[in-house]
Amino acid sequence: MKEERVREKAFLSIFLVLTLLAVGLIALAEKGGVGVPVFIGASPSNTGEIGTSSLVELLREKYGSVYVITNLNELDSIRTSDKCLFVVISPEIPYTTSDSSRIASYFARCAHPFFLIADENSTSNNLLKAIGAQLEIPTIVTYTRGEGLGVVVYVPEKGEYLPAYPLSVFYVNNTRYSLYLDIASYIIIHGGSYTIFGEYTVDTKKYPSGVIAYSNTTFGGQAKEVVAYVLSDGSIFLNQVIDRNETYRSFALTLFQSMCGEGGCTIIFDGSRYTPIPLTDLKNNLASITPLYVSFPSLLGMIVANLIHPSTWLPPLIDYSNKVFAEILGNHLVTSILALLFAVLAFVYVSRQEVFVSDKPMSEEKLVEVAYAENILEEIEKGKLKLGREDFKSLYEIVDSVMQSVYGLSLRDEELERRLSLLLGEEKARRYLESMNKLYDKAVGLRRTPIVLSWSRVVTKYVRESEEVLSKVGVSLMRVEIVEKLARS
Amino acid sequence: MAEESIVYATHRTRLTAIVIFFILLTGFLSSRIQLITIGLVTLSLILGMRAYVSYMAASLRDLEVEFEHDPPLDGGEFEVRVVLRNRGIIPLGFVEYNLRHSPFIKFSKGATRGFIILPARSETIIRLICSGRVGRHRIGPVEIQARDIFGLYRTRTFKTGSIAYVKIPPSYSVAVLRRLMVYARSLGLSRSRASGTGIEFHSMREYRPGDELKRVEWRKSVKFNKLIVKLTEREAQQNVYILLDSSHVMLSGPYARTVFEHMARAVTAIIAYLSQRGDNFQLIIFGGSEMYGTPSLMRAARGFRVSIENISSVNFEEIAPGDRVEGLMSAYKFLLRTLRRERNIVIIITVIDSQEYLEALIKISKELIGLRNIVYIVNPIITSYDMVGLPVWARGLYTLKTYGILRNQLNYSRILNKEGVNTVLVSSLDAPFKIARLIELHRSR
Repeated sequence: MKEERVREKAFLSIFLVLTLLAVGLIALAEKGGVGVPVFIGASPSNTGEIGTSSLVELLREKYGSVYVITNLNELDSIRTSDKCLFVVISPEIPYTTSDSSRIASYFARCAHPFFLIADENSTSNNLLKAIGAQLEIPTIVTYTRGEGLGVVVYVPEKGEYLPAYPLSVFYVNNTRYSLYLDIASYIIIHGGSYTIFGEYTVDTKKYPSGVIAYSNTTFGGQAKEVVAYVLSDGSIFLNQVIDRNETYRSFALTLFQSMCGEGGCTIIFDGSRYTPIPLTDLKNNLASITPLYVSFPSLLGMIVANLIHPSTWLPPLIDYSNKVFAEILGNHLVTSILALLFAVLAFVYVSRQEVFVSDKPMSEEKLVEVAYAENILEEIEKGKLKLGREDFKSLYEIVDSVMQSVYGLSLRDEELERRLSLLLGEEKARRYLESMNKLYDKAVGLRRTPIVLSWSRVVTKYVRESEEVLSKVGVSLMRVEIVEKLARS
Repeated sequence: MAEESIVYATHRTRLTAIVIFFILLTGFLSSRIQLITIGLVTLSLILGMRAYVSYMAASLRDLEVEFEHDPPLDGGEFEVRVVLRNRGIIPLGFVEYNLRHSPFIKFSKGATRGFIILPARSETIIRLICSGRVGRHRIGPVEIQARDIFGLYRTRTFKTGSIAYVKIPPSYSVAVLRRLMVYARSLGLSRSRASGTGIEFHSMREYRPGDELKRVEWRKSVKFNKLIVKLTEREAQQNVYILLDSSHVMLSGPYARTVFEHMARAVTAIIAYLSQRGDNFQLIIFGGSEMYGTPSLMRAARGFRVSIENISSVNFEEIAPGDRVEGLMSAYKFLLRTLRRERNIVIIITVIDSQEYLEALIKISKELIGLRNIVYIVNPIITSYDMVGLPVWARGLYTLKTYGILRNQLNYSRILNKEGVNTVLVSSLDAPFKIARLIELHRSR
């Protein structure tokens, strides 16, 4: 009984699991694919050479509370701490006024707002303006002269030509760092309170490459002292240098330490300023898929994740099945054959699953009655009792025993005939005794006559006659007392 | 697989499935939506019926069954109630029940098998009238199965309810007991030649304080002018051992009038008589797979009660045709352990049906006689019991046909008597009197 219940439960469980699986697959397909696009710029999501994912990991190891946002709305869900640092490295999309106000509303919740803006172009200037830093990064244009590294940086606003890879010296926490910049701009200082912590020299003219601007800015109606670290190049934070060059890694850590100290700092990397390339659109951006821009293992992982996602294969599969089914149903012959096959299979399956029994009513308990001479009783009940020579002998002996017990005379005694004549009449008594004795002699083989055609008829006849005779002497073959009488005789 | 399933499809389902198969096939081949619809609706009906029967199977499995009965009577009728409780919230329809019971007991009224509907959260009582007979009889379990309305599916047959046993003591007529007492005293069979409690006159003497006033002989008292009391003869106490055979042969005869039951009633009357006479007695019932009886010699009401309890414990279902000699020898060994070293009366009530059994009986009888006991074999005339159940017209033929058996039985009795073992042939009518006479004839003096 228990096994059946276990089986039922197992079947239900399997059915439930399969149903949930189907629901889950449809839901996933409805929701859409993995949706992770490829970033090819200095995005913190880019694990390629020119991404900044290594810096994020480096800082996460040290500070823990390092967040990467892909949308400025995500700022609302990030918890603030005593110090908040907003990091922007080589952004590709300029900040708008609404972007600046979103950032400002976040920093209104923070006691000490810090900004790190490393940009070789004018993309971040709106943000600098919004946080009250009187700094500006001029737009640059690169020219290629000749072959190899013959690249020149041109500043259209000033009409100046700058080297593509100047060596800049930075002083952070009293430590001097000499770092090569990569197609860098410089910082124009318009005033306010500031400190220059990095610069490079071109023909004796110094260009600021790192400035700390201090300003009092109102965020969400609250006045805040904002400290903004501005660098004229984002390349010194890219994976290609952070992963391989200890000086760059040390500079980065010292710089962040100078802002965040040893802890209690929430660092937010703005990943919303880069143009994502959807995986499905990669074929149109083949030029971007180079080892320089993306990490191939990550790219492969993303592609595999996309492929195994139900949204990739489930709709086409259903669509294809639907088409095939429609195709099949369109052909009458194939439909008929399939219907026949399906019906046969269904019938065989159901037949095998079901246990067929012949439906009969339950058998009633049959009363057991023991009979010593069971076979005789059965023959009597069925009317198949056969009487023969031996039965006549028994009849004779019974009547003889009764006569002996009643009169002390046997059936052969002449005196009995006289006695019975008084009860039956002379003729009847004589004929009965004579017949009985003759037939007994015949039965035991003492004589050949009378001729007996059927002993059964003879016995039946003489049972009737004997009953009549015996009844005259107060005995009956039909009564139980006959047995007792015979027993006593 | 057939043992594991709780729901079975019947042959009707197979037939219906084949019909559905052809309807659907025809529908698909001819693209007739009506046929397909009919096929699918019928298929749904089958599946629906299966679900319903599956539910019923679960409910039947949890069905509560109890048995109740009135005090049972030997030779009378008593009510047996089968209480079915459906605790479920769904009514159970088309439930087929079948009350299993000992094949040796008969229900004269009410249906032991039938169909019922068990309403939700209900108690249904099936009332049956049972014809009582001596012994311990099984009632239960109840076999239950259910079907759907079309008989497409049916559940497995569940055996529910525990087994109840009805113990029916043998009945004996108080009139028979009175007749026994009068019979024994009128024949002067119970004299002991010593004064005491009894009815036979012993002597007369002057009244002494403490004598019962009812013993004062008023005429003599007037004559002698002093109170004279009449003393009666003390009735002697006797140890009586009764060995009652309950083997398969003893079950011959019609319902409630078998040899065993007749002899059980006779023995009950004798034990009642002995207990009133203050005799010691032990009853041993042998022949079945189990031996019953009083542990040792007992007397009075307690002995009577224990004896009756033992007779009513005989389970006919445990009695199978087998080695009767072994049963007899086991009873004999048990008897030897409790037999007192006095002049006891040992009465063995059994049917002798074979030479082997006869020899065993002669052997143990002689051994008991050797131990100074008085042994009597009471031999019931077996064919007379079968005859009772026959229609009158068939009895004559039966007498003829069984004459040989009777002759053999009489012959065995003669052999026993020749071997010095007293044998008495008894019938249902005179058994108690004959046995009482045997006891009184040999009462110790």
